[in-house]
Amino acid sequence: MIAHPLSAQRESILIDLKLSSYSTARPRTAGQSSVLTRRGLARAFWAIVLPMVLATSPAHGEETRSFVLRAKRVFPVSPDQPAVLEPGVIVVRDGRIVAIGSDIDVPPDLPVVNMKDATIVPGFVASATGLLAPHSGDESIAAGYRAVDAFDTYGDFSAALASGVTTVHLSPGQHRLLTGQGAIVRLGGAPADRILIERADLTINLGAWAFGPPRDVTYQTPASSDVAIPPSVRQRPDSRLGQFLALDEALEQSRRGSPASIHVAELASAWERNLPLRLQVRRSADISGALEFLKRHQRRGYLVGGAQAWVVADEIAEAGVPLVYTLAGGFRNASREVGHDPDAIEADVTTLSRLKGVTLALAGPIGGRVGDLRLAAATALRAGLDEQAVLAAITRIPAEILGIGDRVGHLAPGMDADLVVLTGDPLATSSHVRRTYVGGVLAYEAPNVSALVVRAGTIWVDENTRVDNGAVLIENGVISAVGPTVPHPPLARVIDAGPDAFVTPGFIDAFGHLGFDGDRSSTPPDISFASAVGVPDVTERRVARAGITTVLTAPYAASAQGSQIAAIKTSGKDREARVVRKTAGVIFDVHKSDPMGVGKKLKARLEAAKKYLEKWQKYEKELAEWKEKKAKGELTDGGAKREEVSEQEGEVDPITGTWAVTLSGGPIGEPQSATMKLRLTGSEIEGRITVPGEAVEGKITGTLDGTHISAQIDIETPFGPPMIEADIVEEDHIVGTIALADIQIDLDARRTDKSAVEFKVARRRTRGKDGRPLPPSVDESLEPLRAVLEKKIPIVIAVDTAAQIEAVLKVAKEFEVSLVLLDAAGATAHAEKLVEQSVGVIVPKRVLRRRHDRWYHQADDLSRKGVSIAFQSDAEDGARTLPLSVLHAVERGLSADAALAAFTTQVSRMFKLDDKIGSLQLGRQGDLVIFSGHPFEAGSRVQRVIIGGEEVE
Amino acid sequence: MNRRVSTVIVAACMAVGASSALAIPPAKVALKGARIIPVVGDDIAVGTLLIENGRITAIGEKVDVPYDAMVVDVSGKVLMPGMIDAHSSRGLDVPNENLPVTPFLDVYDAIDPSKLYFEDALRDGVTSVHVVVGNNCVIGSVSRVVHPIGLTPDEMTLQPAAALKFSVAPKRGWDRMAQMATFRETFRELDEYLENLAEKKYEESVEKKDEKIDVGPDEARKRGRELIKTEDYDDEHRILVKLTRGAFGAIIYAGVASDVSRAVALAGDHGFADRSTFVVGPDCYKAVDELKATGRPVVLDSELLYRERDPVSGDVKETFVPKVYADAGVEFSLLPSSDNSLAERYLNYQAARCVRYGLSRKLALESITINPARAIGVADRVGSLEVGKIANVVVMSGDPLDFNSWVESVYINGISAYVRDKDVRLKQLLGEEPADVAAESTDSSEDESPAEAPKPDGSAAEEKAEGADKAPADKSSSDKTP
Repeated sequence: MIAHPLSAQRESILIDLKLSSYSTARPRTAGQSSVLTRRGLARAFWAIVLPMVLATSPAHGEETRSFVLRAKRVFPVSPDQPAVLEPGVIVVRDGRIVAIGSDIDVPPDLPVVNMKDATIVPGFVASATGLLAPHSGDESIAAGYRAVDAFDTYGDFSAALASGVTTVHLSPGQHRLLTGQGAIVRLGGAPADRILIERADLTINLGAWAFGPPRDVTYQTPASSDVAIPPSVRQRPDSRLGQFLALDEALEQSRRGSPASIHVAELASAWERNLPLRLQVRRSADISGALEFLKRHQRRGYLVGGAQAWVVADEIAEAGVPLVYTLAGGFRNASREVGHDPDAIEADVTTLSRLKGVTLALAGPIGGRVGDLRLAAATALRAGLDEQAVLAAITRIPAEILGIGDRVGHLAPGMDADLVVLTGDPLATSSHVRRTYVGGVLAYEAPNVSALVVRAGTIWVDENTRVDNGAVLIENGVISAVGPTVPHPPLARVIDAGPDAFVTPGFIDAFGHLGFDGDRSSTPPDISFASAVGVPDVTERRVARAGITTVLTAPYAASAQGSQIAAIKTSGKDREARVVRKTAGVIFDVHKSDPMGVGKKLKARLEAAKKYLEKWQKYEKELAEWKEKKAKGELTDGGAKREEVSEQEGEVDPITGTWAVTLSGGPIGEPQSATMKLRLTGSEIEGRITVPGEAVEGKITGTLDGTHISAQIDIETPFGPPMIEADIVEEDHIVGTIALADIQIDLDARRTDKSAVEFKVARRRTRGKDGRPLPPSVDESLEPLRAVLEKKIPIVIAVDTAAQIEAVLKVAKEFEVSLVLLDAAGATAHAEKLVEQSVGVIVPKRVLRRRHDRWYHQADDLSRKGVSIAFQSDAEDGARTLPLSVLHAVERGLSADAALAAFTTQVSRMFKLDDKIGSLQLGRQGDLVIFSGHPFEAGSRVQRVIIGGEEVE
Repeated sequence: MNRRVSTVIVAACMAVGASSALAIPPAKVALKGARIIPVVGDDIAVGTLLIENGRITAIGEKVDVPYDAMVVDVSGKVLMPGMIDAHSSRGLDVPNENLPVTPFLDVYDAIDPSKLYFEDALRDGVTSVHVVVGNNCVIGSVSRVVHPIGLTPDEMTLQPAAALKFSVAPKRGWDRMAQMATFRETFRELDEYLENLAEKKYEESVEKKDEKIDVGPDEARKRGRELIKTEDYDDEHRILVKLTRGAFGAIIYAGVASDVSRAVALAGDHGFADRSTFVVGPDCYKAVDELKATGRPVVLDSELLYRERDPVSGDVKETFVPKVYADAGVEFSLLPSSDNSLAERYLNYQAARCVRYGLSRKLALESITINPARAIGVADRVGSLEVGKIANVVVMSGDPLDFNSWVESVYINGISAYVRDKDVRLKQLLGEEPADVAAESTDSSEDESPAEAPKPDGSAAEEKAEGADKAPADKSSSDKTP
């Protein structure tokens, strides 16, 4: 909790420090410093407050086991409730459900867990599992083995819980006639509460698996001359004839009293307790025999297995004995055996479709994974079972059969809060379990995976592509699939917006000031607003909630040299996530200038940039040539030779070596010491200066003229590099000054070591050590314009009249730059030229104009003439009304799709951001808005906003 | 018989301390000038420990030493109570019988005094060993607490018939269902036996009086119960009867966390809950609350750092087991590893690890001395240096939690049982001439000036346990630590 505000604060302090170091040298306008520092403070404030706000809203109620769960749908699987509650609310207190319904009163004291996309079903009941290994005893009749003894109450059953199974029947085994007593447990919650029924049933296995048990040996301890080791005893049964005989014999023995072993004793006590008989059967003959056995002894019980149950379906139904049908499975591993019906392709389908009138529960394949239950059951839909029946067959019915129907299996007041939170329909293949509650305890929660699937009736990918009833998959913040169906990565969150929903790319405000906090001063050309961006606050969330995901953020007033425009998202976890492009454009404001002067001013600035660009182009050309030559092996290595010579000279020169420097005067209070390492090459000086405690090294380059040294320290500051002017006053002693702007610091250095020093970084020379050309120095104020001239970003010019536009167009043509006009009331007059030069227009807010006594809407007008348009808010959080004002443009004739394009694809192309934002094509950032209908229908509302794959709450 | 003879011969051949044990011991010994860690009570920076007739009779900074006492100068050394191994089957020739239920057996018959283990135990400063059958059983045998020196089990014995061993974790090749069914069967059979015995005794008494039996079997059993005498129980049932009637303790092994509730239920159902000691596997830390509720001593398996893998994410989680028990306020004892090649075989190393993982030094020392003594019911005689207790004293070259310290000598019953300088096997192991070893050890003891003595707060132990380099001169001698 503490780390966040601190790191954010540090960030803001860094910004402040950077600025204050600027202002020590050159007084800044009040506006300039305030833009960023006040922003910084605001960031820090929100960074501290926001986690606090979040912390007070409780996430889960796992400690108290009391909470309210809201979901899109709830399937209670309860006979006295509707099949689906939509929406569904479940109130849980102390691990039990106290209320359930669509519209019920929520107690004010409980935390609310809102899972608005989720579907909730009762925890699944796995009524036949291979969770335990069978016991290791040899006895054919072994009622003394209790499955509960082998259950790991402290076990971590996340794998089963992750598939929604909360309650499990534990079997002592199916390898003997009477293997012991089963148990019913749940897989989560406090270890002491996990055992539901310790002795749940007597497990009897009929058929071939119980035949031919090993011989039973009774050990006599200690054996002695008078206590002989008895011979091993042959055990029953070997056949169907023998199995019921063996059972009856055992029962008879247990009734006689004075038990001979624990197994007899336990059989007697189990029989006395009237434990249900769990009869595992496959063949029809065994099923008939089992039904007869139950009838003869007047016992309750149920059948498990039932591969051939279809043969005797009527008999089972008539006896009223429930059946836990164990699915053959086969979707994990193709099964080798298809069952006893040679005509059946899928044995399960054939059998299940013929079991009319039988109380039926479904269980996974015996020995299969517990977690396969849901999908195995879903395949029963193929047999014609309806969805409700299948869901009940893995929840309520098995719970009732196992005798725990009053605790688990359906959702009703008084029941245990065993809940499964799914991403979609409980039997849909693409659904995943998000959470599993056991007795109100959050026993499993899917890890947060950065994958989101949005399904909707209409997906507006771009102006040419629309997908009906489709979906978008966003992974790691980037759109990775879009179409009628998309992959559902495991654990992905799913938003099913419904058939009426309309999904569009996030809207882009082409000119806004969000985050400037009313600061109307102009920003110098070398500063991007991106550096002041932090965690979004309420203001930004308001704009985001209106559907505007990106704002091309520009200062209210552009400086005379132009100002940078930054593309900033309205939501994101940090600066990196929010900045789409640090410098997305350069803006000049000429709308008040004289049309004659407009061109001249712009030209002068672009001219300077062009020269700067040429330097770079020259460098790049040379570099390319050098690389080519090097690749061919044509290099003579002249540079390296020169280097060797100079190093030899360096041994005796007056400069080379290590210098202990004392800095004093100027803004430095106490004299400060520093170290300088220098090397003389001819008359060129190269070196480093390090101040103790400062991580950064300053590079020194300069020249020696007699005894006078003039050098610069290559640190980037807005006022150019600090300059060193010094003289060698005596041997190994230099005295001089370091000057930055109008500040001077005294420098006094003494040489401590004369040996030559090696530097890792190349010097600022035209050629590097190996003859490689070196890049020219960076001019931050011209960098944006260099990008403009390279056509990486557009130049945005605020203009008004047709005459101004004409002048601007001319300049743009001359310098071959991408141009975007801002406001441009007179644009209509030059529409053709605008199309020809592919110039975009950001239409003014006041869009209704009058010409020749007729009202017209500029957006519609330009759009029809083929000019690319975009919308601007020219506001901060006022941007949230922008979609509404576009509605007005649509009312005045602009086509709804053209408006949508102007808001998304066209504006992203204007700013050359179309590879990142503006459409829902593959690889674009996952910014989208879900509307209840077409966004420019009056009744349509923003339902949800996703930015970078994360929903804006 | 042959075996006994050979045992005696082997033991007689052993040079380690045996000669001094065989000699007539001086009645009074004063160990003078050492730092004393009594475990119960405060440390004494420089003090004297007086032993008279095998018992500690005085301990303190200033002790009046009788004129006829043999004074041993141990200045610069550290005295501590002998460490106690609370659960070991290494003194037996084979840890387990293959029969699952053997309460009629006693480890007395299988303790092999010539086992190298006992020699190692002395060398490592262990003076009491609880010899118990291994965990590969259902109901094991009767255990015994012995000193690791002596020619016969009788001579070694500190406490005969200490406890009956149970294992809730399944015997090899078994499963928990069979294990628990066997417990139920055993106690069911015991009840049946007692009923039959009562009936038989009644019938016998009636026969003696030449009367006719005129009551039903239930009444006969009721009357017969009072007639049963201790000697009437047969071997097979005697110990179980004692156990359920409150005259015998149990030592119960639980392998995993879910075994704990089964172990507690086993002891509770049959009336020996208040006399049980639980030996628990590392996984059992999860059931610490259940163990705490029993209020009984807990002995921890030698694996102290427990690693588990999350079944979904695959992340490995590490738990330092003693910390969990310490935080929960459960009294625990540490066990050494049975693997001789591991550092974990030294109990003081196990204790030092506890300190390293944030437990107090006091708790760490208790967990290898007084706590195991309580766990095996001999705390009235051993486990600390207190007046009146048996003089089982270990003389360490330095702090016991410093891994550069070694055992200089060991006194058992006040008799010198081990002296490092005379440890022939150690000399063979180190391959040095006896004279050199003697010289080296004198040197190193001289080096140990009071200023350099390890700090009592254990920080020195921690540093050194981490392998901090010592000066080369020191290093050569520390290399000789076994």
